Amino acid sequence: MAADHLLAARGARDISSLGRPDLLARAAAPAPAGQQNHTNLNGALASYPSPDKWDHWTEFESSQWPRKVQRNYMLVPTLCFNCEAGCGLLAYVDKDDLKIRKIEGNPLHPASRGRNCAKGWVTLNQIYDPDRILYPLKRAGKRGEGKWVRVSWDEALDDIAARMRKAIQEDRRNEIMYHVGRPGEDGFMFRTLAAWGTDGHNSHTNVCSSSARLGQFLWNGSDRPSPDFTNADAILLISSHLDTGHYYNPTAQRIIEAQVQGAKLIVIDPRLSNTAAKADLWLPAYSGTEGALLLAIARHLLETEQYDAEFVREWFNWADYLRAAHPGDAVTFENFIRRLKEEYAQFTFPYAEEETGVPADLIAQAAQTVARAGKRLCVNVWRAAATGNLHGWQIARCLYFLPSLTGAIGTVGGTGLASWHKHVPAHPNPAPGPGKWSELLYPREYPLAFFEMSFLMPHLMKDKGHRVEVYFTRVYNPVWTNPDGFMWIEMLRDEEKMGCHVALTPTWSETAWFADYILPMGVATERHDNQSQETHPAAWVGFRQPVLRVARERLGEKFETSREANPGEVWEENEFLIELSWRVDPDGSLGVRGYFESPYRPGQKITVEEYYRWMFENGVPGLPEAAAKEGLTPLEYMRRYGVFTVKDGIYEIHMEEIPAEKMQGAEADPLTGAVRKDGQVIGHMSQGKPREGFATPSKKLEFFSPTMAEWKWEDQALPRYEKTHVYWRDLDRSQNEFDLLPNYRLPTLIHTRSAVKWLYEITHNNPLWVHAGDARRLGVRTGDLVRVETEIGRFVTRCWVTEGLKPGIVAMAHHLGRWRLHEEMGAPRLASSLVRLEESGGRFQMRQVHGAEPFKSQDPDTERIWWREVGVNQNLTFPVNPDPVSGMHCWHQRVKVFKADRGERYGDIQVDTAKSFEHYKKWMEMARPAPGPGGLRRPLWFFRPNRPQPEAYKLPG
Amino acid sequence: MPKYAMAIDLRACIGCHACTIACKSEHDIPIGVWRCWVKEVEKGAFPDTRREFLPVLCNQCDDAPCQNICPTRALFRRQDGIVDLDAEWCIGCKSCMAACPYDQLFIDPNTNTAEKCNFCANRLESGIEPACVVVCPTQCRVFGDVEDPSSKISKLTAREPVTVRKPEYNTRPNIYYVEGSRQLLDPTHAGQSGIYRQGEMDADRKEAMPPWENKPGESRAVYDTFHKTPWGEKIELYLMAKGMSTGLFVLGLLFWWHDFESRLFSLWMPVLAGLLLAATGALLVTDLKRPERFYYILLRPNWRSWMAWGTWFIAANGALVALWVICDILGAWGLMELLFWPGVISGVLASIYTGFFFAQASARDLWKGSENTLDIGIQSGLKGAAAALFLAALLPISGRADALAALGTVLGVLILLHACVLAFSVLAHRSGSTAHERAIELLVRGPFKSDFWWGAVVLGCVLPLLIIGWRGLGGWGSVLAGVLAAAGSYYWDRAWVRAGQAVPLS
Repeated sequence: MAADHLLAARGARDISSLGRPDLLARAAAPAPAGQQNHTNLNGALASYPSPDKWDHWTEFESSQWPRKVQRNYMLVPTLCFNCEAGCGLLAYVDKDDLKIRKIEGNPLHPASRGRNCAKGWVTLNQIYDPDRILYPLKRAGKRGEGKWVRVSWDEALDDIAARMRKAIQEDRRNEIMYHVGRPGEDGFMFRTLAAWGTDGHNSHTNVCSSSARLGQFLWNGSDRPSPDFTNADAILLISSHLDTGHYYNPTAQRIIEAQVQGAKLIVIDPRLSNTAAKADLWLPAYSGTEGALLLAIARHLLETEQYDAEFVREWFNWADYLRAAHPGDAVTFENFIRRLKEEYAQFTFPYAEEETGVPADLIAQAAQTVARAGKRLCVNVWRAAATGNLHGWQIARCLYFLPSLTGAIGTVGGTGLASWHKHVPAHPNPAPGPGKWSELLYPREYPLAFFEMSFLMPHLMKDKGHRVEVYFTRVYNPVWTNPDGFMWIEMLRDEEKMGCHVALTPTWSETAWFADYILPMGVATERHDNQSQETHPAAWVGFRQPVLRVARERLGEKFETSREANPGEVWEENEFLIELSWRVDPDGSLGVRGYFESPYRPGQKITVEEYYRWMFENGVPGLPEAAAKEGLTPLEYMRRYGVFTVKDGIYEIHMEEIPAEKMQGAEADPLTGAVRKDGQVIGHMSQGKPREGFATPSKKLEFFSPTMAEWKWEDQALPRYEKTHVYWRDLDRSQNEFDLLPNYRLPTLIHTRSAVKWLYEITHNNPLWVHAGDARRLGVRTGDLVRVETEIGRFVTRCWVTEGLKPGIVAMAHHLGRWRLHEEMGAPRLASSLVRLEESGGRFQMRQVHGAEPFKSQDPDTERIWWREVGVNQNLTFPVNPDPVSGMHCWHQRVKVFKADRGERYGDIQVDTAKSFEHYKKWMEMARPAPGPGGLRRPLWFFRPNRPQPEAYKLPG
Repeated sequence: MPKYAMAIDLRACIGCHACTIACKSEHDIPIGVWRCWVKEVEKGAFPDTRREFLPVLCNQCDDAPCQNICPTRALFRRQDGIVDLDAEWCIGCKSCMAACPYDQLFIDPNTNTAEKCNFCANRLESGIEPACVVVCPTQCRVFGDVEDPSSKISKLTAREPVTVRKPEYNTRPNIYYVEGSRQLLDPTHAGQSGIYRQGEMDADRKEAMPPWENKPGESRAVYDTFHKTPWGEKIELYLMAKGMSTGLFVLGLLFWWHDFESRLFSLWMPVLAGLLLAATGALLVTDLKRPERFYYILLRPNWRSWMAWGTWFIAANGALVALWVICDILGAWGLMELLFWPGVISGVLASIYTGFFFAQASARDLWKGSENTLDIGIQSGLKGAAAALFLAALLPISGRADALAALGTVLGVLILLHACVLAFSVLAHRSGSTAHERAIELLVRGPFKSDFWWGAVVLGCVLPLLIIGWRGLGGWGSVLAGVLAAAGSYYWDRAWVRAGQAVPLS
């Protein structure tokens, strides 16, 4: 089955051989009795050891080869914990010394199918990282001073629990905040926070994907796409899913499968990402002009009648649109189409060329490719243009317009919905949502913000006088990753407003430096989590587990906690949170402890085993039956295989028929097809039957968004092309102004947790990409130092001249530019510079003392580090740019670039936080605050994690 | 018995580097060295720019230069086609690194022995495919039995047009690429810089690279690994010491044969030759990464390797030099008559085998060509004559004037011959191979041009000839000419060794 897609005739499409291969058939045949399990008997090689051998797998050690030194392994499955894809991994535990020797892929995982990106197997480096934190630490001086003592878990738990308890008793529940960077799991945190009764879930979404999510959500009620890439005829990406991003490994597999068999890949990106490099059509549009390009394609589909008229008639909310926008018109589909064509008449190909700088004939080619693909059209935007630009969410909205027009929603080869494919199992004993709204996380100025205004936390704290009692940063490094990091430092250092900062992290980070406790939490092989993602038209549930604990338990040992089996005293969040919750509320009087009691031993503390036992017994359809067939309990099944496919071949869920019982007393509107019951729209007629429809208020695809209109954004009620804040015509080239693209990612790194040796030797620097023509104008060559000036500061870095970038744009990768304030601690030494930080009155100056250098450790490789420059932390110099609608931080920056002056050194950074505060206020003026209809803070139907009680939605006064 | 090969479909490679990591993991490979990696090349001018990815690993060549040159048979070929390496027998001579045209061998800093990809033979033993094959997200690597027509790899290579790296080296590689462009597969095509889009090159290696041209319209490597130059100063000095030694010995014997009575020829030159030969031995042994294992060449020599032959030649020559000296001291003229021909032959062989040896480093085009062997012989004579002249000037010998004149004549002739070889092989010769052209460019116009022009040409040929022309053959003119010529010869050796290795192989 391997590489079938490479052998298929071009253009042929044999679906039966694609998709998920029967992996067990590919595994090595069982060895005949009495023989070793080496299967060269018939010469056939397997790709993976078959699961029946995972308890007793033997291999020969490479280092002694050709001498055959045998190693006996137990293979334990888990999930990767680097990006959010949750790909399958198999840990090779050496039975002789009970250490993990290496980590490979899990062939049973339906999304990753045994294969991984560079970050998967490198988990091994993370386990043995000499700079990882193995014991709980507590600060011993002032916060940020850098003095640490080792403490016990008990001491940390008691201290933190006491503070939380006080906050709850004093009705300050919302001062308990849990700020997550990498979730890597579904539901545990939400349930815990609800149990604590706090509206305290904070995330990184608004520096990541808010705009892309909102753009799709407005259309169909699901905030992420789930394209069926494998079967597509055309794939249109405003993303770099072949090299990085969400679910990159599983999606890259499928995009390439499609492309090698003739599907056309179109990529819109001003930079030549690896994805653009593999595209059949690379359309380098100016930042923020993508909407013009997309609407030109939409217009083409309309004008040439290449849209699916039946689908549009049934599913677009055209009647609502006509009534709102053209009340004089008769409410007919024909009038809708007429108005639609008028609405987008200006988006001709020549107009799109003028706006984007992409030749009209290429845009036309893209349009025809999209048209020909019809129902087999996949589109995706994750960050990219949606994230980078003001009104970026409209770019996403324009993108989803296209498959909506061609009827490619949830079809084979089309663009499905994440909510159809991601399966979040029920958790035991869920708690109701919090009773009070957090103004710090969801300020009234941003009622439609998709997820929390996380990156405004320091500004809002300063501006509105908020306070946080206990602040957890969980696998999250906002000081480094967020814009305006020095404002974060100012906030974290304030011991009055920031009561207790607890950093839950496996490694040192710039943020952990400013914590009160650093509590080490496990990496992929050291923790329990359940995770599911929308990777293809199927629903699967994956299980992450502490591998050494599982292995040793199989060998007969017993453990109270994962800590005992993990390296040092590294723990896992789930057990920590259960223990913490009990200490917060030991007698249950605060109403917290009850949610952490065992479903099997009433009144006793739930164990993490029992948690997942319950989940797998009750929350994953089909799992108990599959387990029983093999004589296993559901938990045993998940421990053995690491993953379970709930359902395969999930398409067009909106077409599911409403069951007869539900239709009792329901009525269908003859004109619009809406199915109403008790005044609520419960579905929609399509092809003569009542269907579930989409999760929007109208159950239709909301081409026209009544919500936008009702919440003061009438001008944004339709998909529109809006000018970005770095619109190219506004840039003054004579003043060396450029559009800086600072947020693109790399295939080999994930934010700041992947600072390990094998990855860093490939990727350790982020020079500023400058187009060759621009470089000539600036008088710089590759390797020269340049100074980049933002509105609030400046930094000096090295430039890299390229032809792979649109002129007028400069680009610099994320991930790189780590720094530390102490020689031995603060950030992984092989990945960070030692810096000196000076400040006076909000003016910060950072200078590099030295870059990465060889150092002695138990790993001889640390003395072989040859790289010195490890990048520059550009994000520190970025002011916050909150999009007034989606709340997204619009990452692109309008900058000035100059050849560096003499005396300026690599890594110099300066920022004035007074300026950044001014900037925040200026952008907030664009907001159109709540209340909306009904005096609410936010539309009720809008998705919100950790959703509070309905009363909390009302804005007081 | 299967014949293993791998096909890599470049249509599907996305440059993710998972294979690099998988290989590091499977074989616990240290930082700074690689068995497999992915080179990235950008080409074209905006907006027609493209980036391409080339995963590389050992080609397991049917006619493997590394296996041919390995002096101890540490590298051996299995029946299934895999070229494997038994590190227990590796002495760390780095000849394999000099010989591989693809940069696929390296010295493991943990063991100081050579290492290379062996198609994860340890995994094959358990019936599992290589790590790089299994991890690849797009399954662009197809591994299997290329002699079984029903295997995936056979079908793929039959159906699609495939290329290999450097077919002109006749190594018959077993990694087949589907859809690779010229700019990607030919390392002399794409420019290199010391800073990549995501990192930098090792400082040592940066020095050896020609300066970065910064012409963005051309194709250029935007990511690559770096490879240490295998042979450095010790080998340059080895050429000097051995050349002088063999030259001294052979000339000494020849002059003795032609009845030059002075003990300069029969004793002092052979003694100096012996000392220099011992120095040569010391240089060779200490250049090994595992010097304590040097005698393995004597224990299990690979008779296809010129290094093995050379070791025996040097050993034989050393024995003969010692015998000769003893005979001369004892006055055993009869024995000396018997030793004459063996001595001369061993001296010549010990001198010129180096030409064959360097040519066997088939990756380095500059070192191919028979003129190199000839020139090494000429230079040995030249160095020997220069040293002899120096000795003659120093020692109280009889018939000094005659000796100086004769030696001066030899010197002069050899300088002329060497100059002719330089002129023809460097300045006029065009072999047609890009790598050869590139190396000559580096010599004549690149970073080695001062060594070449000022050292090899002016110091080594022009000045000595001028001096001889002015002062005539013999006398202190010849002595001075000898010193300059020898120095120039050193610069030529140095430039030749460095330029030969400076052309990128991958």
